[in-house]
Amino acid sequence: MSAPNDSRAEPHDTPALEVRDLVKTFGPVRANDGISFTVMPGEVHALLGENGAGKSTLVKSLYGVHRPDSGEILRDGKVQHLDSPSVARRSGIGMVFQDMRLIPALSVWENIALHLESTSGVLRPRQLRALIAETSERYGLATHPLRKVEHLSIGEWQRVELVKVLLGGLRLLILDEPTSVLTPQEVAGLFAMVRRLTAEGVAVIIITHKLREVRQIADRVTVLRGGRTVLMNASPHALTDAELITAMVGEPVETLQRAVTPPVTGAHALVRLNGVSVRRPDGDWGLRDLDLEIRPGEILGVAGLAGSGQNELADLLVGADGIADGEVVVDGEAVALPDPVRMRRAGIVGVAPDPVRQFVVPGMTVAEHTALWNSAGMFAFDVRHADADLRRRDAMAELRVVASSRRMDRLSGGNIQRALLTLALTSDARVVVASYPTRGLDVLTTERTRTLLRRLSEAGAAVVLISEDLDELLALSDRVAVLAVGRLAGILPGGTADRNTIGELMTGVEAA
Amino acid sequence: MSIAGEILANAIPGSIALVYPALGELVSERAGVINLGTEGAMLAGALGGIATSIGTGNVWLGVVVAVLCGAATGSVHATAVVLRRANQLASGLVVWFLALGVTSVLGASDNGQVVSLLGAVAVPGLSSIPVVGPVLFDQNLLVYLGYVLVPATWWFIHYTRGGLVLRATGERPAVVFAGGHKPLRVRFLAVCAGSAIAGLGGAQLALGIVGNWSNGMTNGYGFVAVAVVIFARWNPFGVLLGSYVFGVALAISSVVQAHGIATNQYLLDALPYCVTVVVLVAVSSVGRSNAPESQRDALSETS
Repeated sequence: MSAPNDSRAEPHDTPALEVRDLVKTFGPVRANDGISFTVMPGEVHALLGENGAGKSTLVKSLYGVHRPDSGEILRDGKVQHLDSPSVARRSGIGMVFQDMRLIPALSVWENIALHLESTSGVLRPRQLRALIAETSERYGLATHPLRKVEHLSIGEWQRVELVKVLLGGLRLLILDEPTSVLTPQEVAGLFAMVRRLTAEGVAVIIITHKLREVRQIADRVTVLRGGRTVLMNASPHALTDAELITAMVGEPVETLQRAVTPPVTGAHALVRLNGVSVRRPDGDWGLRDLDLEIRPGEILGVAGLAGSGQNELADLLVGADGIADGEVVVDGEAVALPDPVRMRRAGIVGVAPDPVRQFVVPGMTVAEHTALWNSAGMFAFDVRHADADLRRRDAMAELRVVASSRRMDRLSGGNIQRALLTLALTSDARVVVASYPTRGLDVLTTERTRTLLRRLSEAGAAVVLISEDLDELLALSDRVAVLAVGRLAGILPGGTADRNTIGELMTGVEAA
Repeated sequence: MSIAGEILANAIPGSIALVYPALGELVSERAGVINLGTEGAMLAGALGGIATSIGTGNVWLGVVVAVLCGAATGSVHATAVVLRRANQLASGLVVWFLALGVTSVLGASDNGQVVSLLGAVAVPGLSSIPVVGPVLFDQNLLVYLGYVLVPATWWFIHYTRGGLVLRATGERPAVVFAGGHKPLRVRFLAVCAGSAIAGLGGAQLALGIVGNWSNGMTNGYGFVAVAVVIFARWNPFGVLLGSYVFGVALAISSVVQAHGIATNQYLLDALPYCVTVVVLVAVSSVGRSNAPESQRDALSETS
């Protein structure tokens, strides 16, 4: 049961999965409104679509999390009822979720044992570890069964998820935006594994919104928009990027091209970090000996694996964090941190790395957040004009922010991000520290956000762009600073930097 | 035997009376539920044991009833916390008060009646080991059960599927649910099982050490058990060590008294609890706690 079948008896013209007219509603919302597509054995099928297009709802129906209202799911030509994730797993469907489902305090093998149907009442760790090692080796997924999950890198964390799914006896693998957290090298490793699986006849569904990856890995593509199939079982090679984007968005979108800006010379640094070190609450170094200049009219990209010090840098620049060593110089004057008020007065505005924790005040409306954003002193909390102010900002930003009477904590991640971006990118700022500004946003809003950042920098503001998306960094940045375990691994000029060099710096290959 | 030796030897039965509630608390907390009602489960176990023993004359039937009374007390906490999502700390304290009141009323007629204690059974061979033999292996059967239950609990939580699910539930119930298990059921059973084990502690106290019923006779053992679990970092063997430290402090009081050494009795009685506080502070300041992850949410939850 541990490995997928190598020799398949059925002819290859029976689809491994066929979805017919699938409908799933949540109250008045038709999340999936008659979706159809087929996945052949040994095929990689990409599902494309904007936020709210219904991709996640669809795959959750395929994995037995949701029960569709109507429509059919056929496996190998036979109708199948997937009533729960365990039924789906037993029938050979495996899914790697975006928010990975592992328990940090347990070891790798324990996490895997927890999810195997075949685990015996009394655990046999040695036998299981051998099985994990065998599967890891077979698919090139390096894992350490004895290590605790909390000590793993995000890439290894994902490999453990994959091993967990593979051990269940896999026929259909669903990957929900698997590449968003990986380095280019890790993406290559993941795709190599996917190809090995398809060679064994496993069907793979991959959700993504990166066209580059669709071209790299997908045999066919299905595009969803507003819960409907707008493009079904198409070959990506027969389509241009513009055609795919038009299918996703419903109208053509101009993607931001790299602007050739003259290198900024002689400009005064607005903020300068001299040998700055920051300690994390757990005692480890978050940043170590960081020297960095933030200059007006420039977009400084910051790349790095998750947890390499980006969040510490963002918190430091908006004045939320203190420093253990070194100095932070703003406008030629060293400042004592933490002091968010001082940094805000100096014109530094942040798009928080974790908006739900760092921006949302539970119970308060969007208008009240606007008033809070504008409040300068203890008594300047002006809710009456907040709505008008938000409308004015929305007209400038065009990020389609929700009605200001809605409660912020009840909004989806994407809508919270839009509200935060609308406030931050229309503020009168000299320095904008934008952490993952386009995370979780759809194509249209992403492009709009990038344009806004570019405009801010053209207007003379300094932009610090912290991102996991290398394409975004390369398209926007004048310089790219690469962080590796809290240290500056290198600064590359944006125009000539390439993905692989950045990837190597991120993992510290050349940093030593 | 020197006074020090006497103290170390006398500490055994009392330590075991603490090992039970602490192991029970550990099982419950590993599933993600803090049970301050453990004290109540012990009281219920103690009264159930004594009353059954008086009524039937069968001490072992008393032990069985003690387990059931403990589990019943635990089910009150489990219903409130797991099924109705009540605050864990509030519910635990209420369960304790409830048990204190109910046992005082129901136990009124048993007050002062003496029952025969569980007899000591010397383990052949082991009990003739010089010095430690008679101390460790000439005890009642509940003490031996305590010895066995410590490694058994450790083995259960680390080497069985049930134990794995228990630990995972205490960490991230949502992941456990996604894995096809039922975290609420796991928590309910863990609280009941933990309280049943705490009931055994009540039986050891009532039928193994004291031999009669008095109101609130558990004297805070159930709360010390919560402290012992923290000291032990949620590890059963740590529970054994922590309980013994407490047991020694308890034995000092009784041995000093028995030797007629003039001291202040109140200070001596307070000693075990002072030791608990000091040890807890000392231990908490070094290293990491290993506390189950879901506990953080459980303690801040107010709904």
